[in-house]
Parts: sequence; C-alpha cells; structure tokens
Amino acid sequence: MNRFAFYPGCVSKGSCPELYESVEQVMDLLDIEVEELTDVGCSGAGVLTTEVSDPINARTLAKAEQMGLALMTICSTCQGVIGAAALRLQDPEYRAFINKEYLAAEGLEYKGTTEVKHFLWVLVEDVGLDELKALVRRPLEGMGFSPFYGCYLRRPADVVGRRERRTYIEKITEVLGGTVVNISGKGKCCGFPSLTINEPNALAMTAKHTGEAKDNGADAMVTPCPLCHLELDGEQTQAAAAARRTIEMPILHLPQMVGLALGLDPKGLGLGRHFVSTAKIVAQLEPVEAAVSAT
Amino acid sequence: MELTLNVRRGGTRRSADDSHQAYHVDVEPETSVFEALVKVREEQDGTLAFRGNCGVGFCGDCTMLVNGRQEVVCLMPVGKAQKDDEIKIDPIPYAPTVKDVMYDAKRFIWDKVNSFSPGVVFNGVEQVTEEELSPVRRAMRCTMCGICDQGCTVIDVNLDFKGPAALNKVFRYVFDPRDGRAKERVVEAGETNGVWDCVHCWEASDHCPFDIDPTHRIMELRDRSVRLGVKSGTGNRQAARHYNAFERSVEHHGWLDERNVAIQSYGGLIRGGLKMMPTGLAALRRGKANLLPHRKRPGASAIKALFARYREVTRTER
Amino acid sequence: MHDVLVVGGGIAGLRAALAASSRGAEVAIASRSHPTRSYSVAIQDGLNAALLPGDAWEAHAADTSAWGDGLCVPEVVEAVCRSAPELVRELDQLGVPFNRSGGRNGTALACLKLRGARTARAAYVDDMAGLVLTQTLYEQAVRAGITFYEEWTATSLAVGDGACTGVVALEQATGELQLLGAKAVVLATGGPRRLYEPSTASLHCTGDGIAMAYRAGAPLVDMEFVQYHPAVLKGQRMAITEIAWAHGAALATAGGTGVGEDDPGPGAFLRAIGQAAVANGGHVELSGTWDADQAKGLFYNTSYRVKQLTGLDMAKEPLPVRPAMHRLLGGVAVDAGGATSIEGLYAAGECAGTGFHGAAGLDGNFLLSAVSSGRAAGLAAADHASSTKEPDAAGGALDRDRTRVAEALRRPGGEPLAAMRRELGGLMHAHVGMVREAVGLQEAAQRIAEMKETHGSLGAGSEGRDYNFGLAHYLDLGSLLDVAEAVVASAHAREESRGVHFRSDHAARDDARWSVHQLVSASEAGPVLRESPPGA
Repeated sequence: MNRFAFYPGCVSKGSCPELYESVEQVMDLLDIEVEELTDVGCSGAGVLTTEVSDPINARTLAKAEQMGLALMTICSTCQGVIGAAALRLQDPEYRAFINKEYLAAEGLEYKGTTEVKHFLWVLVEDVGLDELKALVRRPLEGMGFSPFYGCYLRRPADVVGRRERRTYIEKITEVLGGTVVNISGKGKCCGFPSLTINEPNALAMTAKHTGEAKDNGADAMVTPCPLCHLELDGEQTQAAAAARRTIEMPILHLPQMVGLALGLDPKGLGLGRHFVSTAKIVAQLEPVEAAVSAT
Repeated sequence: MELTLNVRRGGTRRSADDSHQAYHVDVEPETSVFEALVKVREEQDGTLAFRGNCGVGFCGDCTMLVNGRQEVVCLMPVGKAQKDDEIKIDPIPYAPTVKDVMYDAKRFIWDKVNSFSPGVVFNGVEQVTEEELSPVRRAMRCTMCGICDQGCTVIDVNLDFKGPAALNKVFRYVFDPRDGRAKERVVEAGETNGVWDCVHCWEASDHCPFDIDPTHRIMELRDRSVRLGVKSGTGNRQAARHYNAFERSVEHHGWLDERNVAIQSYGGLIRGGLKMMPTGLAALRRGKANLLPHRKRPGASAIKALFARYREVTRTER
Repeated sequence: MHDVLVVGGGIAGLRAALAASSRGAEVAIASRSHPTRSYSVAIQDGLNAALLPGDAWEAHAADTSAWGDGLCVPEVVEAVCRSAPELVRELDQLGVPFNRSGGRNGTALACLKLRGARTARAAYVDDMAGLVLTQTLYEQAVRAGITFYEEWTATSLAVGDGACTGVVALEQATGELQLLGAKAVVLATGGPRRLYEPSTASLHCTGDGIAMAYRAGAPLVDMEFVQYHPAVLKGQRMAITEIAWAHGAALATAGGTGVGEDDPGPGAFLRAIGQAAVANGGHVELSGTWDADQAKGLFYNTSYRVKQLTGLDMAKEPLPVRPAMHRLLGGVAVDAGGATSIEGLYAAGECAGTGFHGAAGLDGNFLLSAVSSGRAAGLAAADHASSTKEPDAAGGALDRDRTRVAEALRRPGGEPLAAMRRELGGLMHAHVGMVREAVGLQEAAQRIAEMKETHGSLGAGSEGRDYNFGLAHYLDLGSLLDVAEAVVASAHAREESRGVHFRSDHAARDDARWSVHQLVSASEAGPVLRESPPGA
C-alpha cells in the first residue's frame, strides 16, 4: 500500500477531466491510496512570479507535511514548479522568511521535509515495474507509443533528481507490452506556455513533435503532463494546418495508457474525449477476455 | 593517435546529405578538436572555414557539432570525442551557416544581444555588495558560445526569438545595482520574441557549459519585471494580458481556470470568445469541459490572503 | 575616413576606442575576430591598483620598478600607478563587477596579493577579469556608437609624408583589401605569442601590428624581454591563473620537492621551474590547499576548463604544468601618450613598448597596462585627429598589398608553411626562450633569415577569396618572422642578464653598460639596433 497526499492540479479538474478520472481508476488497481488536497492553490505554473508562487507552494508542502505524506502530482508542470519551490525552501533562511511572512498567519509552518513525486515516478519507484507487469491484463502488443515527457520531468536536473527518471515512460511502455517509438523531441517543450503569448511558436512546436511521432510510425504519443496534452491534442489540428500537413496523432495521458494495459474500458478512461480521435488505438486493442485467456 | 575528421564542407545551403570531407591527422588524445582542426587547416587545407581563437574556452567562437553534439570544441579532447577514431564535425543547426562549419554569429547572437540597449548606465550607486554583484558575475561567465541558443526550443522554431544568451545579457544589466535603466530594460526585454516568449523548458540551463543556468536567469528577469510593474513590452500587450488573467484567476479562485484565462488572454470575452469558439465547441461536444467556470475552492480565501500579503511584502521592499 | 581607427578589439583597443569617443572623435574598430573573441578574454588575473587603506601608488610603483629590474621608465610607472585606482573605479562604473571584500554585505573592492607585490593590490573578477572587462568594454563601445569592422585583418599601415593615414585591411568574408582611412590610427593588436611553442597563444597572437609598424619604419623597443608563464598545463596552452596562486598554489616535482618557493625574482623563478620540469620528465606538479567548494567558488572558470581539458579535478589532484611563453614586454616604441615615431600612429596594450614593465612584468600589471595605455592612446589619438585636416588617402600601400595578396594566392602554401611555423616555435623556445647564449642566438638569426627567404616563395595554397585561412596563415607567418628577427637581434646584442632576459654566457646584470633600452628598426640589411637611456 502506497499513500500520498494528492495534488491533482487545475487542468485535471478542468479541461482534462479524463486525466483525473483515469488516474483514479488506475490508482485503485495499483493499490495507491491518496488523500486529495482540496484547499490548496495553483502552483503558478511558472507563469506567476516566484515571489507569490513560493508562498502558495510552501503552503501546499506544509499541508502534506502535516499529513506525514509525500505529495503526488499528475502534471509535469505542477511537479516542476512545486519541486523547484521545495528545493528553494531547503534554504533555512528563505524557509524562515516564507514561514514568518506568509504561513504563520494561518498557523502553518513548513519544515522542509515534503517529497514531491510525479505519478510517473511513483509507478516505477513505489509501485515497481515488476508489480505493474504482473497486473497487465491486456498487453499493448503491436502498438507503438512515442513518449513525451513535458519539460519539467526532464529538467532542471537538480529538481528532477535521479537521472534514470528521464527514461521511465519508455520502461513503462515496454512493461505494458507496447513498443517505444523514439522521437528526438520527447523532452522538449510542447508549445503550451507560448500558446496565448506567441501562438505561431506554440503551433510550430506541436507540429514538429506530433509530426515526428507520425513520421517515425507511432500509433500514439503518451504524456504525463495535461498541459502537453492540451497542446498536442487540442492544438494539433491548427498546428498541422499551419505546417500544411496532416498528422492526426492520438495523444494519451499516461494513466490512460496504463489503464488500457490493465484492462480498463477505453470509454471509462475518457479516450472518447480527445480532440484527435483515438478510435484507431481502441480498434487495435484486444478484448480483455481474449488477452487474459491467451496468458 | 591517428584520427579521421569528417568535416562538413559547403556554403550557406544545408541539406540532410551535406558532403563531408575526410582529413587524417596524427595527434595526441588530449589534443582538443579545435587544435586538431587548426592542424588540418594549416597543414592540409587552408580553405577549411571555422572560427575559434583562444583555444582555452573563453572566446566562445568555436562552437560546432561534434558527432552530433554541440561543443565548445577547444575544450573537447579528441580522445573523448572520437568514435572508432573518427570525429564528425558539422555546423550548429539552429543558426544559418556561412561556410563549412562556420555559422552566422551575427544573425544568431550579436544582432540579438545588441538589440537590447547595451552598456551599464551608471546611476551613481557606489556602495554595492558582494551579494548583489555575485549573480551578475555568474551571468558574466557567458562567453557567447551560443550553446544555450542551440538548445533553445523556441529558437528551434523561430530564429527571431532573442534566446537565452541575449536575455542573460539583459539579466546582467537589470541585476546590476549600478545600472539606472532597469525599468526601461525590462520593457525592452518584454517585447515580442523577448523574455515572455520563453517557454521555460530549462533546455538552456541543461545546455550551458559554464553553469550560468540561463533559464533561471530568465525566470528571475521575469520576477524582477513583475516586481517593477512590467509584464510585457509596449508592443506586446498579450504577455501582460496573459499574466494578469492568470494572476486574477489564482488570486480569486485559488485555482487556474484555463478557459477563462485563455479568453482573457486573447483580449476579453468578445475577441477571446470568438478566438476560442472552435476549440471550445469541440471540447463541449466531447464532454471534455464543463459548461460552468470553475467554482471557488475551499482554500480560495487563504490563497487570496497570500496574494494580499505578497503585495504588502513586495511593497515594503520596493 | 574615420577620425580614429583602432586596430584590434581586445581590452586595450576597446578602452582606446571609448577614450577617443569620449573626446568627441568618430571612432571605428577593425578586428580580426568579433571583439569579444579576442585573446584578452583568456586573461584571468586582476589589475594592480593601490586601493586598500595603507597602500599607496608609490608602493605599487616601487614594486613594479623592483620587478622590472632597473629598466622601467620611471615617468610611465608613476603615471600608470598613480592613475590605477581611478582606472579601476572607472571600469567598475562602466559595469565591471569587481569582487568585494567583507562577506555578503561587503562593499569595498577586494584585492589579492599576487607574486611580487608587497601587499594585496590586485582587483579581480573571480578568475575571469579578462572576459568580463572585454565584455563590459564592448557593451560600452556599442553604446557609444563605435563602428565595427569585424573579421577584418589589417595587412599594412598606410603612411604618406611621414604620417599614418589609415590601414589596409582584408575583409575575411570576401578576401577584398580596402584602405580604411583615418586621421589617427591606434594599434592594439596584441603580442606575438605564436612565435613560441609552447606558449599561451591564441591563434591571433601573431604580432601583426608590431610587424606592420616595424615594416613601416617605426622602431620597436625592449624586444628581448620575453616573459614565460610559470604554470601552463602540459600539452595545452592554458595557464593556471594567478588567482589560484594567490590562494596558495605551489609547485613541486614528482618527488615532492618544492620548486621556486623562496621567490627569487621573476627570471630565476621561471628558470628554476623550467629546469625542474626538464629534469622531471617535462612538467612539475601544481597543487593547492583549496577544497572542492573553494575551487568551484574561487576559480570556477579555471577548474571547469582544467577538468574538460585534462579530466583532472583541481580540488583533489595535482596538475602537470610547465612554463610556456606568455608575453612580450616590449613592442612598438611609444611615449607616455602612446604616440609612436610615425605621426598619427599610436599603440596600446601588448603590442606597445611603453617601458612600464621594464625587464620583467609583474602579475596584475598587464591588464592594468592594457587599460591605462589604451586610454592614453585613445585620448591622444582623438586630440591628434581633432587638430588634423583630412589627409589625402595614401593609396600606395593598398596597391602594394593588392599585388602582394594576388601573388600569394597563386603560390603554394600548406605544409611547408606549417612546417616552418613548427620549426620557428621550437627554435625560439630553444634559443630565445628562458635561457639564451650567443651561439644559439646566432643560429636562430641565421635560420630566421633563411625562413624569410623561403616564406617569400610560398603563399596561400589556394586561390579562393572568401575566408581563405591559408592566406591568413601565410600573412601571419610573415609577421611572426619580422617580429622574430627583432627579438633575436635585441636578445643577441644585450650581453648581460636582467629580468626575464637571461644569457648563460653573460649571467650577471651589468648596470654600467646596459641600463639602456634597445630600439630596433627594419632595414634592407636586416634589423638595426640603437640604444636609448631609460626615460629617454
């Protein structure tokens, strides 16, 4: 049994409800128990100045600390921004400043002990690849997935920690029976942060990555970041049009890919809610019964 | 050791099958790739074009691709660079090429660096502390080798983006307490293709050979901008609209309401609504989004209080 | 036509350009590379200035003169040392973030005690003063609206009626020669380090400015004084910075015997290291008492580069080092204002023989000299330009160089040139290095004369005009040979030992005969020497 304080992030509660729903179902099967933090704030997403986002994130970290649990995120950006704040708050002087100026008013204090972990890391480090493999009921055989991490699960190195975390998606894909289709842009920016500021830049990035996955023969891309999903899925049609090509690359949330392999129903995982149709993926899936009887 | 250097030859036009010329040299394993190339140029082929001068990693002029990786080649021993006694040398791909492995540094670096008002304008502040100057010094380790720009995800799709090297230069001025133009500088840096177009992907920090951590410097520049009340350039209102919409959402609801932020960022309900309409309708049709905007969360009042406190704290410090 | 044309974009050149511009002159800089790609950026130590309480410019001057072994020009030493604190503060206000002392909240300029100084006197910028000064001065030069000719190689001075009216320069991108006319020209082209192997030379340290002045008839001075750096990484050209020395670096042989510890003065110190290195299989070991954090904090730029180049961790392992040629102390003879013997021609920085260093240069005085001589020459050049009518452009030099280059483009180059430069480097190191004697010097003179002959029959090796580096190599070697000839002649004539000039056949200092500077001029028959008493 793994227990975490759960920080779902804004997007899984807003524009990507299928992420929230799919991760809940998958956590059930993996015996991950969470307590959702409902009264904490947005991480600031690297948009807000750290002068205000650090206090907000210190508050989140303090709440998890009170519960005695590590904080689990399901968004690369939440992970990166809260993780970076946690790292800055390792400095006793800075932490004392934030505690005194911001948290004390609410009677809170952050002592600097909360670990921040993305669901992707939890899968490998807490659940374990062997355990995950044992639970597979519908191996994703014959299906190619291109990993797409979201910047903050790759960099900066001191916030991400262990270097091998940069290849977890590939490891999980293989354990689930799928084939890894590598793309050079897997660790790069999807374009989302630029979407409302410099849209042509954002669309060019999206077209580049989804186009590369298509050119390399992937059936889908898989991402542990809902912002990447919003961009790669939601903006893909415009991006393809701007790049004057057709792409039609389905984008899966990480728990959706895991859920499919664990035998969960595609519809229940929200695969029908994407902008780019996932019908081809769904059609490729073996019925669960068949998969089970085959093993 | 006997080495073969396969060096890209040709002019400005790049293609996937650029021709490479093989040069054979006999050098020590600790000889740098740069020295090996100089040897080739002096002994075998004076027409081979590449830049580089100091040979000890300070002039920043010898950046190339070595077996596909961007390197300051004078700091790269051939013994470390070679694979099966071969080294493939290409010009860095994000910059236009001039000749052979020489890239257009004017277009790639200097025009951008010098587009921001150069030079500290002394404001009469003489008592500056080590604590204030040491970040400036760290930024000034920069040799303009261009490797951060070569890693930049935005430059990859838009050569006009100023890029981390040039923005790190702005940092150097804005964070120098002896400079009197901080506010003008953050406005300048906030124009299109400037600091707000950075997607903070941390590639620059990952790439910088000299541990300047340029992405951090850009984020600090943004933080300082906000502190100075500047959230975009005068010709780039979009960045400020986005910041303000984001801030409003988090301040008042505790959480981000992406759709509302997007609508506000695009310039309010009418323009933004129209812009968002196709995506919005598609989202509704797929059950991807709720019709109603986010409701306030339980922690909203506490978050709002943090914002209020933030305004007090930064005001007293200002 | 420019008011002032500065040749060379390093620290001295940029400082000269800013000074001239501050006097209202219209200024251009022509440089072989982009200015911030100049050799200057690789200088890591600091600038001496009597900044701390208890120190005084007189003490700085006394240390300088003592180190200079009786050959410093006293008026120059006084002027530079007096103005040094102001020069440093000026740089600080232009934006150089000099280190401060007194912890995080300290505001006083920090100073390090470098070799040969009686007290802590060198202002510094971590271990990258050269990089930061160059970047800062370049920022200010762009701000001042100075025109840049980037990647232009000067080939000759245009001199008509005894006055310099510009330079002929080769635009590297096109291979075209043009006359860059100016009312005043400042040479700030650096030293001829590539003459020697091993050395700390950048590719562009070819002494081309010195050679141009020499060919145009300007005398050179103090050319026999060639200073080695005590600790250059074995097999590399990177010097271990004086900043590390100030923090307790020490040299030892592999057996652990200390080398050069009792600080016997520059020449003897360098020779002791050189001898120990030879006896010790080519290098001695440099180590310090610093730990990893200190190494990263105090000299990050050094330790990072050492790690890249050698794989060695400075904080844990000794570094193999040996002396290598570092600086020429002489150069184009100038007065205190940087004026050469040719009207309208000025020189600053390493290519200028100011007389400041005398027979041995003090660590921390080199950057200071670049800044101070740059400023002086820039101001003097601007004043000259303001009182000069636009001269007739002297086209002779341009025509001569066009012919010279056109012919060179048709002649073979490549390996014979490369072989010649390799031989020259070894020859200079062996016979005109830290230890010299008459026979070796004569042999060197003989070989250099022969090489000049051969050089005349060689060329670029290919006819292409755009970025023809074979042509650059050919022209550079010509410059190096001209400078070599002057160095050897001067070293041969000075039959005594003084400062960094050591004659094993005349091992003693001879004040009665040799308290003089030697000026060397070019002639058809070879270099011609004459003497001038110090201060003359």
